[in-house]
Amino acid sequence: MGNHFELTAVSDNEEWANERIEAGITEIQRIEKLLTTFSDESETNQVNEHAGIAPVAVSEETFNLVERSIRISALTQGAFDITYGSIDKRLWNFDKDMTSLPDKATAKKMVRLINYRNIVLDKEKSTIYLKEKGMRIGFGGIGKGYAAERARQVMKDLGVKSGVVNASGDLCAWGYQPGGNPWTVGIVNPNATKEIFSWMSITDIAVATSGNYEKYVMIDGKKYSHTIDPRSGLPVTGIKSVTIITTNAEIADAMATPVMIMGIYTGLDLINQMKDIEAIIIDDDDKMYTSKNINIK
Amino acid sequence: MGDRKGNFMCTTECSGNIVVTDPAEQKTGGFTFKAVVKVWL
Repeated sequence: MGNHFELTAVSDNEEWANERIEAGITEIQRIEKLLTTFSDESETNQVNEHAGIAPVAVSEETFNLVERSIRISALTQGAFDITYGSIDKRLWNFDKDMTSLPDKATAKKMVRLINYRNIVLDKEKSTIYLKEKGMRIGFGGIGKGYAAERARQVMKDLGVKSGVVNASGDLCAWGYQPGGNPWTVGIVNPNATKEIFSWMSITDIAVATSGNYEKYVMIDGKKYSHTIDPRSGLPVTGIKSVTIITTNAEIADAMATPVMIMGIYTGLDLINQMKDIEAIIIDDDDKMYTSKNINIK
Repeated sequence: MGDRKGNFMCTTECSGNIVVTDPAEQKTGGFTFKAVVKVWL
């Protein structure tokens, strides 16, 4: 597993471009060290290990990211929640056959520790405290976008006027292709991950897609995605994919999954109330829904 | 090493959006240069 980041820079000088790409990679790796849950030394895991015990001092960067994450949680009424790391996964194994869903009470029990309101922030001391023992935070829903956005900024600061950072499909692009055309982004077909269902010409835009392409179970003829609603503990159903298009890769990444969890109408209603952000949703019957400013040709 | 805790909400490996560059780019004097890095985020 892990995520592949592909960094692209436009230049007529290979050495110059590679130096700047390298700087972008260094930035992504720096963020990985800070946020990954795969290393016990990361700030994320330090916070998690002290859940219910004591606040942990973190860098301003991590603190600010958590603060922004909590804001998105409030905006999405908990559909986005970085404490989803607390989920008890014993009920779910999407790689094996599941024949029934758990009852509502059992599912709810499995997400009892997920609650962004139990993250206590102290800005003055730059500490994060998780109130409940066993609580965990994770940046799976926002970290890729944040890292992509930071890499874009580093490369731009070093003079790269046009480029792309593609974080396993969640991508941001700026400037233009060498020929002067906008970048062409292909949105993956939710029915066939190797195919593209739609193309977009973009510049200075970020795109992120959340989908239930491969990891899902069929129960009584209904498809349940591997995305679990952190509020109910039950898997999302009815939506194949959500693509978010906005100016910032962190926001695009962070909003894709909660819109899927909120559902077609509530999700689009939220997007339509926000500035400079659009969404394309494909439901289980392959019907496409878009936010108000999207025109599919 | 820690393990892959909290993977349920992420879009990891769920998306496959791609960027395609114009095949004619070489004619214009500019080029695209690329590199890939794998990280655990």
